[in-house]
Amino acid sequence: MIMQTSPSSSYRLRVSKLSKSFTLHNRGAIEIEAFSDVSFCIDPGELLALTGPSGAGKSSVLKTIYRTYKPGSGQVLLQRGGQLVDLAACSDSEMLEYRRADIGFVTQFLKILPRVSAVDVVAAPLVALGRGLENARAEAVDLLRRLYIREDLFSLSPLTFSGGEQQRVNIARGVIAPKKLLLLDEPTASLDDKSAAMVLEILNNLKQQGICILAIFHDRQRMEQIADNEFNIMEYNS
Amino acid sequence: MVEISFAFFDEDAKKEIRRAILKGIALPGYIVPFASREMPLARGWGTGGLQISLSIITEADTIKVIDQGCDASVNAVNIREFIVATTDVRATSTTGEASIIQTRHRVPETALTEEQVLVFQVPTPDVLTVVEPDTDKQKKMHAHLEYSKLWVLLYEDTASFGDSRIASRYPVEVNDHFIMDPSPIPRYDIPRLNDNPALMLFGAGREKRIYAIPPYTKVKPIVFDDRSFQMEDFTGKSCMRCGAENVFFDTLKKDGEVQYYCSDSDFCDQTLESRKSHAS
Amino acid sequence: MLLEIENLSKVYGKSCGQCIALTGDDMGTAICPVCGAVVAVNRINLRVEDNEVLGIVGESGSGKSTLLQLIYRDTKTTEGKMFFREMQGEDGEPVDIAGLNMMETVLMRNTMMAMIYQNPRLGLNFLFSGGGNIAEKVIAAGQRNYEDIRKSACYFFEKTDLPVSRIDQSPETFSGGQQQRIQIAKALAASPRLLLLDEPTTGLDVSVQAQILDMIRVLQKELSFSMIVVSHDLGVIRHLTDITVVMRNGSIVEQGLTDQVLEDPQHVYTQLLVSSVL
Repeated sequence: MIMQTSPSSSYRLRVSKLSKSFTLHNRGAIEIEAFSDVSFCIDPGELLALTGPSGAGKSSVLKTIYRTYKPGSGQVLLQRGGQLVDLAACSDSEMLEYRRADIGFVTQFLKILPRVSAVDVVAAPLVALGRGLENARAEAVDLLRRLYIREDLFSLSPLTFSGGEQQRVNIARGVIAPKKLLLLDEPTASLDDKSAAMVLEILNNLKQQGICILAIFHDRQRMEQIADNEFNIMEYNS
Repeated sequence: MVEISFAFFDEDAKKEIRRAILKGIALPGYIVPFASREMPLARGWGTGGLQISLSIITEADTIKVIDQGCDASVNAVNIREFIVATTDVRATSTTGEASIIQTRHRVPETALTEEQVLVFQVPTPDVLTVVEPDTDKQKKMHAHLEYSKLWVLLYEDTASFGDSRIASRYPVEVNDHFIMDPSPIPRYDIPRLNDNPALMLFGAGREKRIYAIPPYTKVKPIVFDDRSFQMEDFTGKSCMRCGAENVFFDTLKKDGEVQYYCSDSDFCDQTLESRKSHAS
Repeated sequence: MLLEIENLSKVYGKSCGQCIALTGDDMGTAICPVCGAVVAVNRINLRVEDNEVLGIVGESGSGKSTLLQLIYRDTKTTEGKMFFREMQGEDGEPVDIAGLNMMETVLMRNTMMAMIYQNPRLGLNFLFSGGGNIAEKVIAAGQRNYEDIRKSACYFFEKTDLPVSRIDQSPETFSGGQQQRIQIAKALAASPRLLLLDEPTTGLDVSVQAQILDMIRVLQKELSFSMIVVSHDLGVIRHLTDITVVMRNGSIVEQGLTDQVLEDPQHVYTQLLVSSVL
């Protein structure tokens, strides 16, 4: 049974028969399967929710698409300009370029350089695109305000923030210069209702801009508010 | 009694040294190794210059030897008497009369001619020694004209003191190519090396090296594009003895007062002579 | 393609001719069983693109530092080729830098490639001041105007967060971390397209290490050059690099995106390495 949620040919991302397993050489070379034979498509402007019980391999799917995990078999086809590229087969250098230009990944944990202020952390993707520093900072401040980050925290390193605040900085950084494909791993996990609602509003905004989003939500209710389609990894695997 | 050959050396020794000299002239500023001989003079006392003088001298030559511009210093007298004793050539203190002038640390005030050879005594032949002690690397640096380190010294002195601190042995670029140690002459004498009609030979006995500046060769001190070469400034000063101006002076402190005397003793004598004859 | 390395090998000692074939990770040793020569680098193939940061990890003796020295021409290549795009022949094509003469090597080091050594004494001239060390690169690139040289020296001092007020002091008077900064300033003065770093922060205090790594990362982004970073410290590799190469016995045993190598190591040795991090 294949959950071909939107059988359109204008998809931006098509994952086809993607499998991943780990071989642990130092434990007698045992093989652990993360997931197998995963296939789905996402259209521009669509948010596909990846669901399933914990341990089902949802995060692994995101990481495999992003190549943090080395794909086992299958294809990850990304529409890029007029070109179709297979993220599971491209070179490391090509993947770096696609990550830089096309794919954003907001993980559950904020991984940043220490000693950089929250504003600069969020502004960095804009600066990387060649936007002037002042401009980029102004936009970053705007976004942090929308996400209810206290002004007095702006100039501090987010590594000193609470879990929820870190999460919001992480999302702000991930969406300030949105790329065509956005991978989100539990973006609202540690957020209060007010902040979570704001995140969903921002995601809605991105959808309207034609960004395609693959997301994992830990909270079914929030997921249903924003997802266009759902792909349940367990149902599919069973 | 053993007969001593003309100019102390046997002909083979002279030939070997002349060969090194010729190579040096062919490659202006290039340092040529030679088989420096044991001399009846301690190394470091002018044996390099002496060996050059002895290997080029003929019966027709007239020799002058100066030490810091002075013909009468013990070292100059010793060398001159040794050359005369082994060659029987005429010796002079008058710059204009000499065909070979061996010198330590000065270029004479009187302009030289095409007929003259100036032989310098050199303690440290390689200008790179101060920045690179490894002689093997020095050779490679010369081969590749890799002189950045010398310029760094110049940069550092300029940064800290406004100019190079080098008082003597100021590095010069010869014939737009090699950078060379001009021996410990004062800055004042550096411009005199440029386009000089006389042949200039440099000998380092202890270091076993010979190099040369052929007549009429371009020689310029290394200077940054936005700086100019500074020399000792004797503006308004004159010699206490002869009254000469615009020459290089030795300075003497007497009763807390600085007195100036010509460094070139022959030039001083001659100035004094012409003053007297004018006066009489 | 900024740098392309093809089949690069380095044998220390007299080679019996079979050394390279009889060693490497497949053979489980870097020492030739016939003649005892050490094959430090064994048939390495590697590419570096513009603005890419490549990390090389591996235990002591894996050949990672030798690989850097081969690229920087600190040591002679035994076999193989290295094409560096910035060094071009008369036909405009990249030349094999393994065949450069001394003058060409000097040119390359002064204007397009630079190295940061673990030991500042290898990278700096302690007879010169901090500023003098930077000036040397600027002068070597042909600058002969004092004010311009001075300005460059000050500029790179500031860029590497060094106190300009101390620019005329010897590296001797600076702390270990600051000496490393002077090395970086000197390297940047060569306006490199490729910067090689050999254990750049090993031996420094942890706090100083972090500051220097941050600075390198920021400068790399700002000035756009590629880097090859050799380190046995996976923290440094994670912090600085995009792509990681794992070496053992002179061979590359694994290569991948840095986050992939660290989170999903494939080779038995890489798994051991990653799981051994304290």
